[in-house]
Amino acid sequence: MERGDGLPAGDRPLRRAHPLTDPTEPRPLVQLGEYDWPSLPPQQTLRRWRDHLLHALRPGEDAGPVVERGKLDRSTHEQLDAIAAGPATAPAEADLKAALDPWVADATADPRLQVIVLPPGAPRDPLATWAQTCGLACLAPPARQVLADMPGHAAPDLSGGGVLVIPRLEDWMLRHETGLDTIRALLAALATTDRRVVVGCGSWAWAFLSKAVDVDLALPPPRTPAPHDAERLKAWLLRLSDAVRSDGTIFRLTSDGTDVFGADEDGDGHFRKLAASSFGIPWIAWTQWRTSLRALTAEDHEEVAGEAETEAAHDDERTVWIVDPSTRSLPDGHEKEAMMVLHAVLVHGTLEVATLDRVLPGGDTGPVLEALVSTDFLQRDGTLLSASPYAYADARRALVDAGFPPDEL
Amino acid sequence: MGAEDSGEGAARLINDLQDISFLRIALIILGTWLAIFLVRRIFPSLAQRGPSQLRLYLLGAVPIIRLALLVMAVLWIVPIIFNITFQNFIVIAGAASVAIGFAFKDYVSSLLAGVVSIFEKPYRPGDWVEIADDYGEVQSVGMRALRILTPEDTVVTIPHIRLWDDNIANSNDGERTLMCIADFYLAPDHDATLLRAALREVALTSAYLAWDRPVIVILSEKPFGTHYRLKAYPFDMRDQFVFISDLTARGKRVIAAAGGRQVSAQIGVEGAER
Repeated sequence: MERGDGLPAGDRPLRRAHPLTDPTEPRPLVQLGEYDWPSLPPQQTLRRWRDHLLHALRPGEDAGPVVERGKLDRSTHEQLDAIAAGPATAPAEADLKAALDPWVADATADPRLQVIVLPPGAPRDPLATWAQTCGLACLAPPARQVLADMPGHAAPDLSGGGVLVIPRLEDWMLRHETGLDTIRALLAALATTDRRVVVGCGSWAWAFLSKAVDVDLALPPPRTPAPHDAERLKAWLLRLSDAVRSDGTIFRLTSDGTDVFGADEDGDGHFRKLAASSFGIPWIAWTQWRTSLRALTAEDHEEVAGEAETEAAHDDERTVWIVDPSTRSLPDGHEKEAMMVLHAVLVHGTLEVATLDRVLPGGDTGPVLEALVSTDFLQRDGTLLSASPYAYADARRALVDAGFPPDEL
Repeated sequence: MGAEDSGEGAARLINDLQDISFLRIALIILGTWLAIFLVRRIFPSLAQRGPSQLRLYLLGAVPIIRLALLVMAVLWIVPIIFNITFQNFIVIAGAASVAIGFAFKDYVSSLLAGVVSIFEKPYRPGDWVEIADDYGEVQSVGMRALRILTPEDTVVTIPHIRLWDDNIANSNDGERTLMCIADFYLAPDHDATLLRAALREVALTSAYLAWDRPVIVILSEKPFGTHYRLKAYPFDMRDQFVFISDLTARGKRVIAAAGGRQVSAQIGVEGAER
């Protein structure tokens, strides 16, 4: 599809800030199923395939990167915080605030139940954070162990005044033959209560619960924050790095030296790639952005300072290099088991290590679990497992390619 | 005179030996063989590694491409060897008919059935089929026969000629999943509504379940008790046996918890009483 400028959509430069479409402003939530998954324009995809093919056929004939990866060090946490400080969930929290605050303020606003579906991997729960900011009551779930051991658990008490928030609906179920009774009781209580309730749910859990307990019929149509496309990502990361850029720091791609925050199309192309590889999820994009940032090693600094003009050496010190994100692979020879574990954790949002074996068919998942944690597919907080934003994109692609039932946004 | 005529006829039927480029024929055969070899190696390999959505398409493309390559090779070679005229065609067809009728009837019938199978698609590579008593995944569809891999890890070669006479049951028919059934036999004195719901829950919470397919529990009364059939689809049909095992193991657990009692028939084993 082309516009009046004659350029295909993928090749047009990103729009600049406009009062009506200011990329830094919160966007309205979108209905589940209407999420516009960011993708690479066909031209760029074809170019990437061509480059891969040429590289495979003639590995020695590439132009080569501007800076070798070996000459670059990972940035320290302090440096990263100066370039892109958290929280990574801030944009989603802003979207939620813009969408839900007016509803909270107007006690007669419809619908009585608000349902928000969020993708996984968030370092902190955006809905719980919003509820805390607004001083709203949150309904605490029972322990997962109780869900399976005491089927037919008593219906939760939803009595009281004011808006109630249930941040994670998935905390009320266990994918076990006796683990769905409590969530059914909760859905029944939600159907009969007069109280205004905001229900949050993970995207994978929503897909599962739609099948298992018809949550999509029991609750109103859910909404989700709009995707962070290239334009929004660029504007957000530009704003986060204001301080370091004002010192003259430039962000360049190691592949060809492009200044990504420059006004040229190649810089925009990087954010299109970032949006596509992170599925438009801000905390995934933020994590990928931070892990891609590098600085020259101390020895190379000295080498540059010794060889080059003072000004050039100074410029080099102020360059933050951006490397291509490395793809993570599942444990070799144990891909299926690893994907079963990943899928179980994604469906539950968070899962106790001890509970994992109850939701998976047979076998000792211990070794595979350790491998998934060490490769950043999963993160462990004490005994609680959850999907890691570092490898969520790789995990989702692997699961979808293997035919596992995916989430929907 | 007569000998001269027949010699002239033979010369007209087959090109002069010096005009036949044996090198060209060899290159065509070698090239076709190489292309088929590559297709048979690369496509299954891509199907194994690539997205599951493409798996059956890639596997199914192998016999079609092979047939196309073989037809091309034959059409290319025949004019090199034979002097193709209508008269010669009749002669060749007659000779071929006699040879086929006497010596290669079944073989050619299998070849023809193989070609028919490509178009009618009673089975494709990747499908799970049952032919006579053999059930397994179609590994490859050759010109004369197909090879299936049974759950017991045995490769069974079945000639396409079976297509003419036997029933062929295809469990997935080109789809990415197939229905799995776990059977339970219970003593009749139980709460069937409760058990039916519990068994449905077993399937709904299976890690192998395809979420976009239905879960059904049907039951029927038999002289010895109640027969429950739990029907559901795994998201990957290669998981069908572990899926059924998962349903069965957890099904037995919920049956016991719900107060159900499984029954089994007394089967006499020959020689057991001796």
